[in-house]
Amino acid sequence: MTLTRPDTTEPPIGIRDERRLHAYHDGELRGLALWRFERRLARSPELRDELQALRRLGVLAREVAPDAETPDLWQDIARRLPALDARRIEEELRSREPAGARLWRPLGALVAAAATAALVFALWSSDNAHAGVVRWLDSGGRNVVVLEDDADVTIIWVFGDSAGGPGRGGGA
Amino acid sequence: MSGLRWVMAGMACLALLAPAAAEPSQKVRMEVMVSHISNEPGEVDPRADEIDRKLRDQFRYESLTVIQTKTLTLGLDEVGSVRLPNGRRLQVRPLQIDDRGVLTAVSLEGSVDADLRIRNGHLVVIGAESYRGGKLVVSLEPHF
Repeated sequence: MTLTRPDTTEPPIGIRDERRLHAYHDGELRGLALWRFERRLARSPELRDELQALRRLGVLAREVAPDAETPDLWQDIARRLPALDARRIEEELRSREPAGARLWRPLGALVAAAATAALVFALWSSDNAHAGVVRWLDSGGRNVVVLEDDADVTIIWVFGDSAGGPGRGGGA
Repeated sequence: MSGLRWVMAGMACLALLAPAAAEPSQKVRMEVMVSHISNEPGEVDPRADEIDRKLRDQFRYESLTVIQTKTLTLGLDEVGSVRLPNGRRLQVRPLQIDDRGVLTAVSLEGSVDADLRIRNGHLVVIGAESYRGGKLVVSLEPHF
């Protein structure tokens, strides 16, 4: 009788592995996912190399510029602010009483927040059920038309060329 | 196996499964189409028929050419990027999904930034960038 050894060759690293690797590196994996990934890591020298490279990169970044500002981080935070505003507004619109005085307080807060940006306008409907597709938009000072008449399509049309670009820094 | 053992085995299974379920699993498939409209005589690309039907009523142009199409499959907070023919980037980041749609941060580099709440299958058409005497038109259609 001939015994054959099971094939222990690990499959190549895929996108899923890379995501999990980053999550593992950032300490975001828990429980079964953590256990599974550590088992995979133990079997895959390629993954271990990637992990080492990630760790080296982190150390290098801290050594090169320990006191430097991190504009990317700030951009990331700044980008999220309008979205957070949009979420808050939606929550407020959903929970508010119809045509009550409570409506104007959140809207006033929104206007104040929007005024701090270079050119920001938020569009929302007074109708609770439909608040529109565009929650926040910055066109860098150019004229914009938003067409939301069609239930299936929203058209955002920006006129002219950009002078300075929008204020969120060009990233999503 | 006694009843108590069954209960304990069940609890152990739940304890193992719970962290895995906490991992982000919501994905958005974002269909991106980059087109060019121009006043130069030409045809309308059949792939952009729907966009043409919607734009034709609002804007005047002679030709509509599809330059590229791409499908981005993105998890929440994951950034998808498409390089436009004018060298700039389109970036898309789904932030939140609920029954009203997917809240998505969209950036056309140097041109327009927006947060959009897009329903499943709803088409968003953005005309922003001047390009070769016409305009680049970017359309987004999320499926989740």
